[in-house]
Amino acid sequence: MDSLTNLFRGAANLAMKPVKSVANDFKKAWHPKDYAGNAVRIPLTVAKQPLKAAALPFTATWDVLYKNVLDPQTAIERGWNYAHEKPALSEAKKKELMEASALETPRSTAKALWGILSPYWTKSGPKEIATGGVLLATSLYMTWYAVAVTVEFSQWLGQMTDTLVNMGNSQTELRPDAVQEVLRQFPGVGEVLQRYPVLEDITLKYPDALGIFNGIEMGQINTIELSDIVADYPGVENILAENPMVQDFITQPLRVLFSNPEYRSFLGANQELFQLLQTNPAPDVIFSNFPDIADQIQANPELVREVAQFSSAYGQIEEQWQEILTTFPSLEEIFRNYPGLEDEIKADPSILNQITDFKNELGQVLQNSDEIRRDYQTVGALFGADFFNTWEQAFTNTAHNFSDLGVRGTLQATWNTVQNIGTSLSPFTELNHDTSKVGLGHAMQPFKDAWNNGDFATIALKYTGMALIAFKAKQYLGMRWRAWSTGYYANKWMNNNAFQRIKNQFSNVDNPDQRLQDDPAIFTAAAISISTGLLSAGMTFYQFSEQLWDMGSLNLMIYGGPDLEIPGAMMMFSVAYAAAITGVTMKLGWKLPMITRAQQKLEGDFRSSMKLAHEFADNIALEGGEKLQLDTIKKNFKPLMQNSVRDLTVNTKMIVADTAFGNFAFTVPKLIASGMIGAGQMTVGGMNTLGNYFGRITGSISFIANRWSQLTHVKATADRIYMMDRALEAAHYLETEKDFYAERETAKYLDTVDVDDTRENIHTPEIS
Amino acid sequence: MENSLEHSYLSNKPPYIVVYERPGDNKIVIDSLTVTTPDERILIDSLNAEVPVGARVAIIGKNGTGKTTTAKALTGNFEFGSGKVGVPAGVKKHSMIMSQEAFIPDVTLRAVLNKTPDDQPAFPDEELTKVLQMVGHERLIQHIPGQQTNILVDDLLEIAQTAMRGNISDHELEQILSENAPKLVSEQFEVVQYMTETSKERLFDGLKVIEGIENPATITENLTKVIDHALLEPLNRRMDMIIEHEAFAKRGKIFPYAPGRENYFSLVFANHFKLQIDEYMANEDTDNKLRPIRINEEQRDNLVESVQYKMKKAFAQYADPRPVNHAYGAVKSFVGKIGRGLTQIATLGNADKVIGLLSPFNKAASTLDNVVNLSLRPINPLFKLASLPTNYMQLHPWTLPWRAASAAKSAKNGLSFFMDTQVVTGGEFKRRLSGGEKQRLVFAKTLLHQPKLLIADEPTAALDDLSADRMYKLLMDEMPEDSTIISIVHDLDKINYHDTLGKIEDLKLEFSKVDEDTVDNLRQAVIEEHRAALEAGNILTADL
Repeated sequence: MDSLTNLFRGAANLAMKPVKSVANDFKKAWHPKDYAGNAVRIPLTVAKQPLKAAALPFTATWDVLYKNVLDPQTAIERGWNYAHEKPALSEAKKKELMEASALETPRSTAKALWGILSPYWTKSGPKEIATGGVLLATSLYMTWYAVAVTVEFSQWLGQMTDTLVNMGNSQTELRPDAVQEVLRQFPGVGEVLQRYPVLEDITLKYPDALGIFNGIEMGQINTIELSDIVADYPGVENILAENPMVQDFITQPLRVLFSNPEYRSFLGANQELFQLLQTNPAPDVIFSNFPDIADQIQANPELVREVAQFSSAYGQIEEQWQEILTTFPSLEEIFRNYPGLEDEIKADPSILNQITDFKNELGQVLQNSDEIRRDYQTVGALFGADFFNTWEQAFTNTAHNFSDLGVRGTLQATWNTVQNIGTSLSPFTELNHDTSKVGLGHAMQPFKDAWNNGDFATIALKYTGMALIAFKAKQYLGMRWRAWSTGYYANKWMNNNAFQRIKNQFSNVDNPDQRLQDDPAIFTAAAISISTGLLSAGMTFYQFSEQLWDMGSLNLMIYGGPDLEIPGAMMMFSVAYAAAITGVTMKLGWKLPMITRAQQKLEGDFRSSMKLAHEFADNIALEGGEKLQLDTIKKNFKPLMQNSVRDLTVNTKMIVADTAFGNFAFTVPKLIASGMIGAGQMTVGGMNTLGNYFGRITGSISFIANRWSQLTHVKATADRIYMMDRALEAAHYLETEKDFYAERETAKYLDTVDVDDTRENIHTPEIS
Repeated sequence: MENSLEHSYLSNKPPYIVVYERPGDNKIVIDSLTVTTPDERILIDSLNAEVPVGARVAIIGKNGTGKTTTAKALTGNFEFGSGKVGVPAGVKKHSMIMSQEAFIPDVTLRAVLNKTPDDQPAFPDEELTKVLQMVGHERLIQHIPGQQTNILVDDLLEIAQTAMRGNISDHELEQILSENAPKLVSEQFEVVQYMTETSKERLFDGLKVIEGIENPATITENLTKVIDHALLEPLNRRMDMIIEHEAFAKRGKIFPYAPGRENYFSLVFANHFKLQIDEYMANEDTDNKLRPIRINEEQRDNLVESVQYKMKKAFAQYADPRPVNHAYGAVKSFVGKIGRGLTQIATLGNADKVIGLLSPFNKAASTLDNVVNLSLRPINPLFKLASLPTNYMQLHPWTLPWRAASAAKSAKNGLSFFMDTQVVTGGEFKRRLSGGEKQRLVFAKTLLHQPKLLIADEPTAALDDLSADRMYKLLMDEMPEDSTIISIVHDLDKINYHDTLGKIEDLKLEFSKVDEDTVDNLRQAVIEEHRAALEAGNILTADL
């Protein structure tokens, strides 16, 4: 609560900064002087650099803001000047401090973390807390906004996909009419197509022709082919005529079959066949799965041979088609290599030219159709073709709205918005709860619309801006926090002879120099990174969990179970997966904090052994102690390497676990979705989206596992600096206690000598 | 505080030595003081004593009996043990320890002596100079800016006084002073600095009162210039080392030989160098707000001029004596521009190797000088033509000002690096001063601060007898009478500077008055002890 009060006090303080000094800063910015005090002639410079001149109000404002608020130098001063309070004397506190300063690591990690993270936010003074608070709020808000923009981008992606799919659909719809229209100009081609119905089919679906063999329209071609060859096998023809379902099973892709409720229930009851159909079996294999037909075939040896021949012929045609379509992906090549048409083209190559002309003309006709044109425009708009226009409109209309409001109205609206801050922080928000008031939101509506336009250019601009501001805010906060903390601890160390006690009395504190230099930098940066990371993870979870829940429901039947729908199965799997990976990481990396702690101590010892050699260089040289010193340095280095190996071992285990488990996150959604794709419940695009959502959700829940190394580092650092802090506190406590005893003795003495006039001159020892 | 205290444990006997203040009292009262080591070995047991303020106490005792520890306990710095020490008001805050090993923090001399940051001095510089003179550290005075120049001015005024007895003219006096000033400067100064305004005023005021001088202002101005120039000498020597390299490394090969271009180079260099020094003097090239700048504008101009001169001299030294045919150069330069591509093609890009093959025409260089000469002198025009393309970018006169500016910048870097070493700080003093000199510096610090309670823990251990005596004498004379001094001594002669003797023996500290016989008696006791040990057969078995 104190810190909150401080925050507001600080904000008020900043607002009320002596007007004179701010005015002076502005004056300096506007009238710069060189080191000798001569005025620098701005007008000339301005005349030469109009851009610079135009930016001057902004740069001047930034300079003032930077010098008075952001510059880490101010934080340094505040940290170094921090007045450490006299600890209150109490037996319990003394016991606690003495005990704490005898330990190497603290008993409670939470206490240690609170002990190192809280001073800046509770003790650094109203101004510093306000500055740090604003920076933290900015970085958190920007992180939050960045996730929101990511969602916006996902939506953009969805819109883009929809538009493209729509375009493809329109094209498919328009194609038959367009083909008929163009064929009137190319009668030769029309004649060829009439002779070869399969080619006609391919022409009608040309750009998706490859998709034909990816199971999209295979059925149609297969039906045509089947009708071609089945006449040669009367026995098979009879069987197929008697069993239309079997014919469908041979010719139709599984997706089509599954959408038929009759077939679906049949396949549900015949799991073996269902599994078999997923492997695109040959016709004879399918026949053998129907007992009646199988018996019928077995009874007639001729029929057995016929079925075998039919199967191989059907398979050959499939293979042939596959080869043609995969080897010759252009329409001309397919025509040229089509069995039977080859010789015709050799005899009259002009057909091929006609086909090419036909294709181009068809493309023109399709592109010029209204539907496709509309889709092109949508794509353009999504990429930001109207970007400048939109923003220009936004500024113009906003300005127009403000001019309508007038000065008085604008002030009133601003005041209304300010009053509304409790309910909403954004000035864009319309004041809906009270219609009698007009806020800034009304006037700025065009601006808001442009901001939320959703085109790629705006999204990119927003994202870049947010990322930049978030980065700067984080860096400045990190610097300020480190600067203040370093000052705070250094001051605490140098006060009340604490440095002497740390050296002579509290042997649990090793390498105080290293702690003061490294630890504040480490824990502040990590705290900021973790807090923004946590927010980002939470936001991601919040934003994507609903989609994953909706998309990721499963029917167990697809995987050979009963016809049972499990809602949110992927979500549950994701949570289970994250729990598992977090558990494994923690189990394997449990020793990492201890190892890191030891590493820091050993690094410090190693450095101090060399520092000692530098300090006593003369003594070492004169008594010939080089060998001993070298050996000492080695002895300090050996355990360092030993510990590094321990670190490596633990890390290796964690990497193995991570790579082993991490691949599940990538593969499992694909595995699950493949069944759904086969069953016609999902598209390839849907699978990618599902994988994307799954990855995001899993990533956000396994935050601890992902940041384990960073978290251990923070724990090790927190332990070290907190133990030093406790020892310093203990030193201050002892000093206060000593002062208390001295004061008491002085008072006793004064009672005996009865010198009233000297009482004013009593020298009371001060702490700080 | 006591009223608000709820914790009974504080009413018990404190577990350590308590040093408290006795306002209005004039003695140090020691009440059942027991001093132990941190591992609880007793050094002094239940000492009760009173030491009057202003006493000079010498403490003696064998090694490890706790002399230093007991003395520290009196200041409140050492707390293992029990008992109480009452000291007069202000003593606790104002006590100092001179330890056996002098500690000099890594700051400027002014801060070392003041014990405050450089920009918040506690004492005026004159007092620092005084204490440094007292302890015989005259050579260190120059590290306090403006102080040694004052001394120099005094010396010059003395010379002027003597000279004016011969009724000489202003001009003659100026000549005499100008001859003497550089000599005095080289005797008195090792680091670069300049005449401060105070020193200048001091000189003017001094000259004004000497009879017979008509125009003291002119003499002051001119003499100041001479002194400033002389003070710049160390920097000039350093620039000698740098400048030749800068000149040749950055000038590159100038073909055809053109003195005009060299002059242009040194001119541009000088202009840039001046700007760079300006930047240094305004301290705009670093963020260190406290960086001391110890040259002035007069010296800057002086330096630029002399550096430019040196550069020209260096160029002239290695110049080709052959007369220059400018028309030929111009034509060849034009031809070279056209022909360079052709040459490159003709030699298949190996112009340098081809030149190497054809170079028997050039006399082989046998000495280093010749190598330098050869590398700078234009070679046979034919080969020169061939070598043009490979050097073209470097040679172009267009790039000369850039290279000059770059040379100026690196010359300035050399200058600022050197000037930073001119500000000597504690780390450097530690290296420069011997153990005894360091101890004398600590004496100076003590004399400056005049603490109420001084623990002198063998502060003359590294000094010779005479210096040690001088230091003790100084201490006893210069310290105020209400300062209590507790010395720890091993040299029995030093006891004579004190009025009280404290002897630590068998866990007891016993005080006695020092009189004429004290030292003799102690010495006699020591001799007898030695003799007894010798008679017992082996001095190695003596009880230490």
